[in-house]
Amino acid sequence: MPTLNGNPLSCEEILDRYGPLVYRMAIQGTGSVADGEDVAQEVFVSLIQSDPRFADETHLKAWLIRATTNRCKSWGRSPWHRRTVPLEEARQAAPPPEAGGAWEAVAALPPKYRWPVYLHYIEGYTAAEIGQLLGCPRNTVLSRLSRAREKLKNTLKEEWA
Amino acid sequence: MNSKDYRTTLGGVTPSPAWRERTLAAMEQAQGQKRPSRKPLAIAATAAVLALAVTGGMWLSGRTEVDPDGPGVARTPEPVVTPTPTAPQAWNESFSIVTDPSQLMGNNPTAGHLYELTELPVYQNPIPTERDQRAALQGLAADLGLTIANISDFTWRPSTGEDTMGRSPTLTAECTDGTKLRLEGFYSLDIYDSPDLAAVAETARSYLLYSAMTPQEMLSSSIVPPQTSQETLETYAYTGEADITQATFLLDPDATLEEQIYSYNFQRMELRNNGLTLYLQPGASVGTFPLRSPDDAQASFRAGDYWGSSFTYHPEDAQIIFVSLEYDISMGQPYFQPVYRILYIQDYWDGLIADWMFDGMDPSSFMGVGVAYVPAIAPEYQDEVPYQRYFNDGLAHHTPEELS
Repeated sequence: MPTLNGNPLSCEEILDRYGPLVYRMAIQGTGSVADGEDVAQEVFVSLIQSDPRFADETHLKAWLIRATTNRCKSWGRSPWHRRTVPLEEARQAAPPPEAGGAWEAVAALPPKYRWPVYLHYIEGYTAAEIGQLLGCPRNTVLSRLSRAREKLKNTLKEEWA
Repeated sequence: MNSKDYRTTLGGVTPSPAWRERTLAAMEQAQGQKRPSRKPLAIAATAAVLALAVTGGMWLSGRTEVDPDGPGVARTPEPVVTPTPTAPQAWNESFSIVTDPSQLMGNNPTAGHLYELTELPVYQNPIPTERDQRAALQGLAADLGLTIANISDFTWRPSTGEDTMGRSPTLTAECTDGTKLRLEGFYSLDIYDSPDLAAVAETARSYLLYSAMTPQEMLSSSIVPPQTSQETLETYAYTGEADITQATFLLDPDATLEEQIYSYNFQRMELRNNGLTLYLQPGASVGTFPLRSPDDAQASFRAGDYWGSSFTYHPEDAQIIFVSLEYDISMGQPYFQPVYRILYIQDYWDGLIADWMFDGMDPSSFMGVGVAYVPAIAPEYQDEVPYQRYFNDGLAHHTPEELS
């Protein structure tokens, strides 16, 4: 089992503490609840299989965030997913509850802008923390947030504030 | 629609009970199906190759990796290798990611001349008033061919205190062409959102060249204008994206080494992330101070006493690959003073990079390089000119106590 500070984490504990984070990220990253649920499940199964040891919670969250963004990225590329797209369209995967233009606009941003926006506005991370999670300097995060806000303003035709 | 709606829309989404039940079952089934770990194998002689290659002015990437997920094609047997040990607590270490350590070495004039310096001046970093900053920003904008659009566009953020990274007040303004300016104290000017950054960069370069000359010198045919030199610093995110800083600074090959270091830091501009930072010349000197030796600075690092965002639990085992001397011009400095900049590597960082890089990145292309800063003023004078360096909103000082 994965450990945190040397203490094993149970599956229930992992899902209770980190389920919402990964679930929301996966929905944001794939653009649908159905795909997001599959990605989120894969991430947690992968966590169990990888059996990592985490020195602190930051590393655990960083691992989950990285695993989720990776799987969202590869989700659209996977041959299996491409084959099943018509089926997905046929069942018209539902958007998130009460989804509006903002969620869709963020989902349409390139990943380098999308994830800083998501981590800042939904998960409440500071630019410095996002820099640590994504492995880039704080100033890069700030400039990407700034550019993302501009893009969102253009898309939504109103100020992103 | 704005960020509040976004938070309401997505922030309230929680996993459904059905998903939780399915995922829990899948996780429990996955227990005991541990995947083979994807650790790279580093050539045992990497460290020796590294030192040799850097000394010779080139870099040889001789690392290989065995990928358990790779195709099962026949291949020439790999050289005999020793698995990279993973040091205890290595997950907590931090370093920059590069493809070649020269990407962090730059073009510092002290390279190869460190032992020639025995003392250097320390400069004031004054805290200006809003009025002083307004006047300075108007002047700088004019020098760069920019026009500040409207006085009401100014915003001023006062200093947050002497011992904080927000020590310098900040003044921002928007120009008529949309370019934005941000003056930090009296020491740096950020220029961003310019519709023509290349043109601004060329003007800034001219500013560097001619701001130190008097009108008489400019008109004199016997005075040769100064030259500029460049350096490129490059690091990578876990996504593999490069973060490149292109710096231009004045360089007079006939000047003393002390003058060259001054120009390297204070007559300098940096292009990065579609923005430009122009560094301004510092306040008056508060005195010339004796320097500790480069060996003493390295000993301080080895003992765990150093500054910066990089961190290792095993500085005594690190391989130091490059040392230079520069003025620290990062934010929050009470004084602009010289620091040794020590680049180092750890052999077990390859394993960390393999775990950290995003999918699709070949981790064997990347390596970790730590950057440690050690104040260069002799320790017995540090009380007079205290040193500070910040990272992630806090003091970035590492002490031997962290290693115990």
